[in-house]
Amino acid sequence: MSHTVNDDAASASTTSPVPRDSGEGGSATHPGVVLRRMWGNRAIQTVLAVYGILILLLLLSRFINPSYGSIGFVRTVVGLSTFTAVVAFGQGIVILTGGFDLSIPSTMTLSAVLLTGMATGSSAKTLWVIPLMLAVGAAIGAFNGIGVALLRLSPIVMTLATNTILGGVILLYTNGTPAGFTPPVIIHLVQGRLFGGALPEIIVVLIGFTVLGVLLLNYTSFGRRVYAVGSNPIVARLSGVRTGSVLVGVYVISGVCSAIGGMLLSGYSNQSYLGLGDPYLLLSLAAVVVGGSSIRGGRGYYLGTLAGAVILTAVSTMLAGTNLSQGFKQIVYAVVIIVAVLAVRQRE
Amino acid sequence: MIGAPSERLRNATKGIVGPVLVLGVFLVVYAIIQPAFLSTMQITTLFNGSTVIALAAVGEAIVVIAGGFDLSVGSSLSVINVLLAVHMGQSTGSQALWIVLALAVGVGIGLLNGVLVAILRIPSIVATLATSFFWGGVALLVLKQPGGSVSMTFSNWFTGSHAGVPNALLLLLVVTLVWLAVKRTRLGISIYALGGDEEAAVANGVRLKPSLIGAYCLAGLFYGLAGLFLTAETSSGDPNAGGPLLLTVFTAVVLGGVSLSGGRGDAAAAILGAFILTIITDVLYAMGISSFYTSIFTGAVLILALVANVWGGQGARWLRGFTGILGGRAQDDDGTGGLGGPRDLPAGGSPPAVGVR
Repeated sequence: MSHTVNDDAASASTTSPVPRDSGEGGSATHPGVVLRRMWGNRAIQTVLAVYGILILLLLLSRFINPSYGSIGFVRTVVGLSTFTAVVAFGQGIVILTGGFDLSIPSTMTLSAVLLTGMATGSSAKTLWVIPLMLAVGAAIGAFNGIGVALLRLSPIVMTLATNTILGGVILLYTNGTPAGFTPPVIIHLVQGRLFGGALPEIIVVLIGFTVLGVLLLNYTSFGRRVYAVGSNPIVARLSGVRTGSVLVGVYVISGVCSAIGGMLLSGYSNQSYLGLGDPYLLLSLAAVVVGGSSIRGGRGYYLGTLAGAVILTAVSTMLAGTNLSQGFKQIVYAVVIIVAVLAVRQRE
Repeated sequence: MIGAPSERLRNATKGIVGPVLVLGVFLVVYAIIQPAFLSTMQITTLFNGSTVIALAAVGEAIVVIAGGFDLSVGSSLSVINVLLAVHMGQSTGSQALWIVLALAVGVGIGLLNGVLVAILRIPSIVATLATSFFWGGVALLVLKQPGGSVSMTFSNWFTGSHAGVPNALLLLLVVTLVWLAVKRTRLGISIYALGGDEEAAVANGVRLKPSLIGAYCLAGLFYGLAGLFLTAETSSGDPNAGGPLLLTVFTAVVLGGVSLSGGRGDAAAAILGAFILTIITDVLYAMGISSFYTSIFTGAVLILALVANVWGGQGARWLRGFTGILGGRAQDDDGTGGLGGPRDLPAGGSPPAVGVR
């Protein structure tokens, strides 16, 4: 085992030359010091760069079509990005620990088909169905987490296997055709608007979710442990972090996020369907990476991922408004991802 | 490791024993519940059903051994499939030309991945994610919806049989020989070294860029073959033909005993993984179990295979230490590195695999 330790220590010293991002919150009090430190922090520079790209994208979009870049357009894009942003939080927190969650698509689809199948369009039933769905997501995450943390299986394959198994479970439950409709309360949450139509409710959901997510990751001891495990699991363990429980924790969180994402998505389409979650495997990964997180773990901010999700949604919304064929849209999309990744890449 | 013949045999069979045993057990079960399976017809069907995944898995396994992941395998197959279905003519000349072109397109796809990963240094999972969008788009440009066709002659070249021997078997044998030959070249050794420990490999004189690009191009070549076989099997084109295959390909790679942390395993063993998958499906079907259970069963087998991969080495090492026969070599046994843990990621983390190949 000794060579493994050396190996990890060596890779840690090469991949994290910057001071650790976590745990900087409370120490400095003078606002100027805080600002200067934030400005000097490469991870925060990266997040700012992502927002720079987003703003540039929205400004340039006006040249494609004058209606793009307007307040209404931004509102639509931000609202639509919620689905990606929610599941990308789960994907992102797993990636922070050095793993991947490939079970997001099936978890989303399962929670959606169970929701419509059990609640059958009744808002009253959501009182017990929604908590049940969150529990299902958590259980799926716990299954992944136990495989990764206790059995030490490769995260990418463990979650891949879970995804495959859930695919079968979905078929068994639906018998091939999902039944029922989304409860009106969820449809209203996703499609409704506040203040005479000025503010989509889904944006309120997204803001609330983001606040909770940022608090959890950057202002709790759990969040600090997540970064610690991702920066260097050995050091984390030696400093008293129970890495196993942290790992199970992040997969549980990702499972719950997928369940939320699946339910919200069924609110967007008024019903559930097979393959509902499928696009979100690649989207969640892309949002995290475009958002400036390190794919190898240990570094990244949810605010970056959020901007990543909005960028991806903005590009696909803009492309949807053009006469380009589906094939060209996809090619442009791929090029945007590569360019964005190269632009925000941290010098490793 | 030029040693006693028994040791050379051990090296040659290293990592293959597990998959062979699993495949053997499933074959016996299948032969018992479905004796008709032993007919030529059934065997050809079995081969034709497994070969696309087998060929693609060999390619994917090469990238995995080099320490990466290739998520673009599905759309690579789609592009080659639609190109053949749309452009290949009825004449033998056109078909021969397009076979060469399909392989060339495969290599080109690998080249793009290789450049993104090796020269621009984008993590493989991100680079190939983007190229999977890209080639999916190209496939849609070539053919908007399922259609096109290829001639029966072309299909028969791949899916037919000669004197009871499926052509697919011959193809897979050739692929295995090609891989075993490549494995012994400088490129093959570099691929293993890079996947085992990139920094150590570079420090020992492995040329990172050409070797990584070579690995992706080689993988692309096998995707080209898989695309050809896919087209022959379906005898039509579908811009999303390869998309759903990604997860299956990965499952075959793992069932073939290839370590996902890179540097260990044998790409040709992924062929066995593909056959295990097909036989699981066939056995369940023969037992009259709903096809809905297939993916549940496949997933469970995948997890079991992983557990065996990661923990099996421990038992084997204990046994070897106990008998004291091969104790000195226990250190670089297969079991050491499938650590799986949180850092078990592309391009990092696994213990250096020294001096074996």
